[in-house]
Amino acid sequence: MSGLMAVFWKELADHFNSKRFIILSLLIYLAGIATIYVAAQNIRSGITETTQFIFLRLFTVSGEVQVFSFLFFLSLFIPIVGIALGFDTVNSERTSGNLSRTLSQPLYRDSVINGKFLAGLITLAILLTSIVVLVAGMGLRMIGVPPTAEEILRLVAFIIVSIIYGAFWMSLSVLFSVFFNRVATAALASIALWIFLLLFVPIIAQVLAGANGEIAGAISRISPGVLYGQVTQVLLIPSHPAMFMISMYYTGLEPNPLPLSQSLLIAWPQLTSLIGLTALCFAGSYIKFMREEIRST
Amino acid sequence: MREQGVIETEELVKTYGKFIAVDKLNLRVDEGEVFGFLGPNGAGKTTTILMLLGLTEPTSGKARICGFDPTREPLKVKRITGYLPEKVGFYEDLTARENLDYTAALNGLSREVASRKIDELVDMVGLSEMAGHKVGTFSHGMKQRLGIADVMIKDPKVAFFDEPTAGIDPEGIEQVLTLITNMAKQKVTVVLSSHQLQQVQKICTRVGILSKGHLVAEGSVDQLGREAIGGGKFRVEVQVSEPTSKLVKSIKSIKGVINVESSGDLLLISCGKDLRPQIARAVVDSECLLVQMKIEEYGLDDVYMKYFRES
Amino acid sequence: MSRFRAGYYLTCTALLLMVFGGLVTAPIASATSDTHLDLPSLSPSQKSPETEEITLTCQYPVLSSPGGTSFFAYSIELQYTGGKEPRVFDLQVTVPSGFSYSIASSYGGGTEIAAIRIDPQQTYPDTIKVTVRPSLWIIMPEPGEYPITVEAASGEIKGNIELKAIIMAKYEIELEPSTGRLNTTATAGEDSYFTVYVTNTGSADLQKVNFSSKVIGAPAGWSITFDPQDIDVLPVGANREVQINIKPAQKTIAGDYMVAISASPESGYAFDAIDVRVTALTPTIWGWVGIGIVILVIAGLVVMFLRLGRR
Ligand SMILES: Nc1ncnc2c1ncn2[C@@H]1O[C@H](COP(=O)(O)OP(=O)(O)O)[C@@H](O)[C@H]1O
Ligand SMILES: [Mg+2]
Repeated sequence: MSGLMAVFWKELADHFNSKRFIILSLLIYLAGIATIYVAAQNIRSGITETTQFIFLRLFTVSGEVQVFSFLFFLSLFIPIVGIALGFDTVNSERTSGNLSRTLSQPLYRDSVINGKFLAGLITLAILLTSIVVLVAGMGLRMIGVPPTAEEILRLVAFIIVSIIYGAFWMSLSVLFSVFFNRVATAALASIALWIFLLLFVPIIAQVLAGANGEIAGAISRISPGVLYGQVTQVLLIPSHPAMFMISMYYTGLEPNPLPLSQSLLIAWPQLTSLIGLTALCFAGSYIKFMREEIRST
Repeated sequence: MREQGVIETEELVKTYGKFIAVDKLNLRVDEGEVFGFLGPNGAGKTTTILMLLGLTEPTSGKARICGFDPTREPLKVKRITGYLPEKVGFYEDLTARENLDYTAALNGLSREVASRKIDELVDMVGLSEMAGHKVGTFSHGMKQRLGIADVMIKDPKVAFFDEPTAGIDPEGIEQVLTLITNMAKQKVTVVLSSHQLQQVQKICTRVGILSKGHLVAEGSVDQLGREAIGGGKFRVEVQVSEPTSKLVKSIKSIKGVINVESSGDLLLISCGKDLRPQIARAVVDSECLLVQMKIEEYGLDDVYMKYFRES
Repeated sequence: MSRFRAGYYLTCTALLLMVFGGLVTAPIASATSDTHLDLPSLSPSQKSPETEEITLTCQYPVLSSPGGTSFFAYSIELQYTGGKEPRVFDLQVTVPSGFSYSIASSYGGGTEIAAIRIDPQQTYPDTIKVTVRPSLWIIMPEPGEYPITVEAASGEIKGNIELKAIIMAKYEIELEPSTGRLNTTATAGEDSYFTVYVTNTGSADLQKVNFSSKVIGAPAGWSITFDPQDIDVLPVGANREVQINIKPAQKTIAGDYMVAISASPESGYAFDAIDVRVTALTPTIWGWVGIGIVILVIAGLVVMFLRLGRR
């Protein structure tokens, strides 16, 4: 346990001292602040007498021209952060010769990978929580409408889901870092997979499914980005019919905002898939790492 | 029954697919020894050390460190063993002290204890001035010395050094070897692997020579030399014109000559002491013409060369 | 007051234009009316062709106008029948006090006439234009019905026509901000007052003046109340102050909102609306809470970086 904590603290400090991470987080803070600023300017368009969840709109409203919503930005950045936190986890330690030294210390092998994963997770959590809370504070200052209790709960759920989504990309890049000895290979593989899932899966789904929207939806759901998008949509835009709830979408009725419990219920399959994928990647890297021979060459 | 050795292996085997890296190795190292683990590149030295540390699993056989099985009780083994890998690596962005701090933390040392120990060790390996510098700026020799400090932090009972002298200058080698000798003086059992035995032979109390995964020889340097080349300590090389079998016979009959080999006009004579005058007389007596005569004292090198040639 | 005047001039010019328009189009209208057999103007001439008589007809004998600011222009056809020679008829118009009149021929380019010569042989009627207007333009006659008689007489031959001018009440109401500017500020969830003046600019008293409001593009929850809620009677020309309490919804987003405020009486049709730009401020507490959160997050991050930072 002490070994795990030692690895955890060291890795956490590593993240907080790495230029890569600092630059990336600055970028995210800037983008987040910019989008929230734009959102606060545009938040009033589209508000009607029946609009509820005004505060949540801060995170989903986009500018009129070429400016994206906070949610969009975050969904783009989370995979990058996740990958950046994970792609050199094991391979850089191996090639630098630190892994042999570390593993000859009295700690279980899984402590190393667990500690590293935990540090990444906490870093991710700190980054995402701070950006959402920061932006919420700014938004509160700008629009002056406090969030309701439910909106706060929804934001908390949103943060948690975002952390899980980031954890998926991190565990994926950790997996690659275990399998590919070269850091660059692992990074490129992770990014390639990200782009593939982001851009090509929807296209492929459409081609395969033809005009059948429901099948296309099902296929596109192998992309974690799609899963994340659906969950966050349900969480942050409770009064709009989620695109994937096709039957509801076509009734043409103005849907009532769903209560949080219902939103969670709808998002549950996507959420569990996301957690499952994360666990799968982590288990893969875990198994490979635990059985691996550690040679310092 | 014998007293338990610090390191014991029994029929230890490691295969990579069909390739046998370590073949039925039986080894025993006792407390306080400096054991030189010698062999050419690819002989299986590193593989053996990795098995002893539990960093790789043996295919078959038994390995014990102070009675603990490295595969089954890795933590118990790792608590008492220090390991300086072949290509030692440190976190280049961290200072020497921070690197040592991390090792101390991994060993569960408290901050104060660690801090005190690091001060001592850094001083001992002569890096006290550099302790606050990033390891990225260190030379290979400095890293090697830092590695020794890193091994010492946990007060190991057994320390493994894999090729500690490789790639550093003679002065660095001297420093590293002195440090290792000092460790041994503090009752630490040291295992030292190298493919350049002339660098390490003087500090080893005992050596084992590994070739293609086999332990081909084991013992003190002197003892090995004797065993390997029939006990001779000197080798006289004689070049004569047209050596005859009569000459070989007469040289063999000289008291103290252990072996004679002839190849072309060269006679290689191994003997217990300097027998050049007697050999010269025998050549003259045999009416052969003496072209030249050289004498060499046997070292581990020759022993080593012999096993290289054999393998 | 200047607004009043401008309105007057505008209506006057508009009506003048209408009159001239009427003068120009009248002959054409009368020419076409000949072809209609059921026109009342033709029926008397066919009744008794023997007796000499003068018939005055008017297609629109009753004219009405709101506010009394206008002309009443009657187009009267005179038909002299039964005679052999043309006769000159004196024209006489009786109007109520406070009104003046003028008679003009349809052809004479607006020259005032007092008599007309009519040939009994002609088949088409002569047309004169009688224009009645309030004597003084500025003083509005009371709303009501005013009889007008137009008489044509030549010796014993007399004819007349009863016309009627109806002055309708003009209902007009005007809202004006007390400050003259159509903007104000209001804090979400808090009372904020905005004063307007309601003026009866019409020509009749207004009964039960009500106010209403609408906020554009804001979520529900705005409260806009008027003090007084309504005005029982607003006499002509009277001016009342009304205080509007604008209380933006608790969840109003800071920014500008258009609030449409309108007033209208229950009697008659009159309506005025102004769009007030309400700059909604939010309670300063949320601004501070927001700043507090931002500072807290930044402080947290700074502490994090300081604790984990390496130099
Ligand atoms: N992962 C591996 N797969 C296959 N062969 C290996 C592997 N690791 C080492 N070997 C082989 O095992 C032999 C012993 O290697 P090693 O123990 O590193 O030798 P050295 O004595 O130089 O340290 C070498 O011939 C090497 O090629
Ligand atoms: Mg080696």
